[in-house]
Amino acid sequence: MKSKKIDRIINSIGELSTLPTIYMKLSHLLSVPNASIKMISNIISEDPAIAAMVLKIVNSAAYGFYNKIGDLQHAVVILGLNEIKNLVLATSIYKVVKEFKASSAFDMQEFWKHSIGCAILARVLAETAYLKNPENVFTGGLLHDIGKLIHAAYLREDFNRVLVNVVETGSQMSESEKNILGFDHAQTGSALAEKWNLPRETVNMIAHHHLSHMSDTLTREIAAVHIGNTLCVALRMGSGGEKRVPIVNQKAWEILDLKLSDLEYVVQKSTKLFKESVSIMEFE
Amino acid sequence: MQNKQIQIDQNEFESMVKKLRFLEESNSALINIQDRLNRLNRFRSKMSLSYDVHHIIETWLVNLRKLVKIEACSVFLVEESGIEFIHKISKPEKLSPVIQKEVEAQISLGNFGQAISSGVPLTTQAEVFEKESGRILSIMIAPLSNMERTMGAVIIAFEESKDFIRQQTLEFLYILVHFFSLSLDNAYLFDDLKSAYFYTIKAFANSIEARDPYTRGHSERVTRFSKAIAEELNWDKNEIELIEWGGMLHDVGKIGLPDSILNKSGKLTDDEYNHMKAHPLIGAQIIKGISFLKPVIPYICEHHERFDGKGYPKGLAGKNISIKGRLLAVADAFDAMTSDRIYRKALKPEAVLNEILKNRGTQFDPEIVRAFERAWMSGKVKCGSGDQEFKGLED
Amino acid sequence: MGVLNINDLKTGMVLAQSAKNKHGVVILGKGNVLTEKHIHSFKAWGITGVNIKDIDGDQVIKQEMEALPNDIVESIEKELDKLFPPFEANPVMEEIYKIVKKVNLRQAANQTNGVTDEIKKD
Repeated sequence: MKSKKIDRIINSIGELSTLPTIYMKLSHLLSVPNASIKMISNIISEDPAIAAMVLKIVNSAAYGFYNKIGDLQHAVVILGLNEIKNLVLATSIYKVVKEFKASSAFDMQEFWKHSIGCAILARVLAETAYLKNPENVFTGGLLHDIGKLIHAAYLREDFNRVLVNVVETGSQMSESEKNILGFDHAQTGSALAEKWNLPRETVNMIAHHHLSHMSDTLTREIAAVHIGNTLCVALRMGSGGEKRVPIVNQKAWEILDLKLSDLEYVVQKSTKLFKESVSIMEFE
Repeated sequence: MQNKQIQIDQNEFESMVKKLRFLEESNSALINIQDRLNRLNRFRSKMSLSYDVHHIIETWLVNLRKLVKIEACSVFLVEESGIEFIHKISKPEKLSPVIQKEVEAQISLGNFGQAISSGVPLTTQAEVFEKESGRILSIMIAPLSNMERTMGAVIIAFEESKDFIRQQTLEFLYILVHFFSLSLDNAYLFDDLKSAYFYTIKAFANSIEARDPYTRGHSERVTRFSKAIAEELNWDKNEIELIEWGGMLHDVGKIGLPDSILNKSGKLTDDEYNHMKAHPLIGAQIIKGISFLKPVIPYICEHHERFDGKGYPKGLAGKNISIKGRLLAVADAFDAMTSDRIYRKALKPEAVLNEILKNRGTQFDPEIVRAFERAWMSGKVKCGSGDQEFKGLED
Repeated sequence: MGVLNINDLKTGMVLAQSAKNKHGVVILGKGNVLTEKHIHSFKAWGITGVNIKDIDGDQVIKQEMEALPNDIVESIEKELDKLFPPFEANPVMEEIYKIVKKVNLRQAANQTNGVTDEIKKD
């Protein structure tokens, strides 16, 4: 049930000439079945900033690979195409939107930190709960609030009102957005992810991370991002604009099948990794 | 005409080259995989040959390093009470202190505990290892466990360099650790089984001694004296272990003897004596049915043979008596003389030693006696007299 | 008598219930006094929660609060009240609240001790 407004916004992102063609090329290429690894890494390398950032992320303590991947081709081989898609999207959106004069009330740097914090927490939760692909959860965490960036860049004024409203009423951003914009960042973000042919899993993590509706899908990956987000806000790792901690959906906790006493371990480990990931906090 | 023939389409040529290259790469990748599978198979068969824990660990460590490029590997085993993880061995040895420090750090961080409680290997960044050199290493903490118990943990330090294909190598390592776990579990089960068996048979053997209070503890003491002698003779571990069985069972044939003979306070009649002399053969007969105890039969059958051939049941002489028989004979005699009996009090140990020395070459094998003497000198053969609790060598 | 998180254990505490590993093997029996070695052992086995005599999780937090000047504690509590919306019957949120409170209290304690590094080993 995508609103027309969202569609318009998403389409306009794609059409903006200020967007380097890398995104279009890559998006197209990744949907082609026989795209070679070399071709993909070449295209990404055409934008050195993106390439560098992707490499930094996969090499950071946050990601969990610790400084092993030397070049993009290697990254593509090791991580697989889906992962690369996720990471390229995350970094390109940040890069592009950063260059816009986003709303002054919205601190991009803090937002990026919040995304990384959530990514780390979600990944550590996923590892502790023995999920199969913690890296996917990492990128899900990294991208979960990407819709906010779109709002900040393309719906500047309305988004400002959202931010103010959140401070005044103590409601969640999602609520405010729905009241003021007509839709929330989960919807916008997932629409964008879909347009980019990101893996269904990633799209779902973005779309359902609030777990506020009965109709929301619940998978263990989504649960990890959901709880990671709450922890991130509670621990104040960066800021995504929320002024109050979102309440954890109990079913999400149950599906992960962890003990309450595991939470402290998760928090400690994540806090440590967060501190060690300073290098990726600075988006050049 | 000539030119046309040799004019190959440029694109076709390029695509052929690409295909060839691809085939070459695939082929070498396949050979690689084949090679790995072979080595894995040999590894597996080496591992399943042993029940000895120490040997299993050594074999595994040596072969691990041949199969995967790692910086270091360490094995921790849970000790008997099931509480503490004890460091057993690290390779290379010079890195042992660093690895142990690393494990301490990982325990403090909770990563070690996470791996143990989940039963699944956990890979994380090294905290201590190589930190000074600036290299970033990965540490895999792999529990050695199954549903029922945790036997220990393996810690592997490795560098994820450019050539390191993470998923594959990690999975490979998991398989290798799993082999290790299985072998270890097997060895422990075998030990448990052996132990259960031993104690069952011991209970049975004890029933004989229960009837005659004067011989209580006799088997245990004979075992200890025999082990002391065997150690002086540099017997290997397995042979010494066998003495446990030999000592325990050497008089099992006495079960057939009636109380009237076993506990007679006076001298035995000829008939009674002959009855008594049958016990080695009877014992051997009893044990004959248990195939793994076959090596113990000489202890049972020949401990009353004399070096000069005047013993029983077969009157074997000199080196015709198995070394087991010759050895136990000395130990058995020593305990008999230093214990109270229904027909006489215990003799003083020094007197008994002299008696044994006197009978060198006649009743006893001189070599065994010499070894016994050495054990005596080094204090390994101690006893109280009569009913006093034996204070012998440490196990 | 409450279950304390492994990170809150201190030497001298007494076990109200025996601490067992995943297989049910007793690592340390009820009534024993904790030493550093014991705590280390719990960590090695991945035991994250231990039942301690006469102390529960709330008391641990209380103790940490008492170790700090009142105005600091108050400001931390005020901030947390602003940050956390009211929630009911949600053990996860409660645990998160406790953890965050502890983190903040410990950070404050470290700062007043002149330690600038945020995460100091207990």
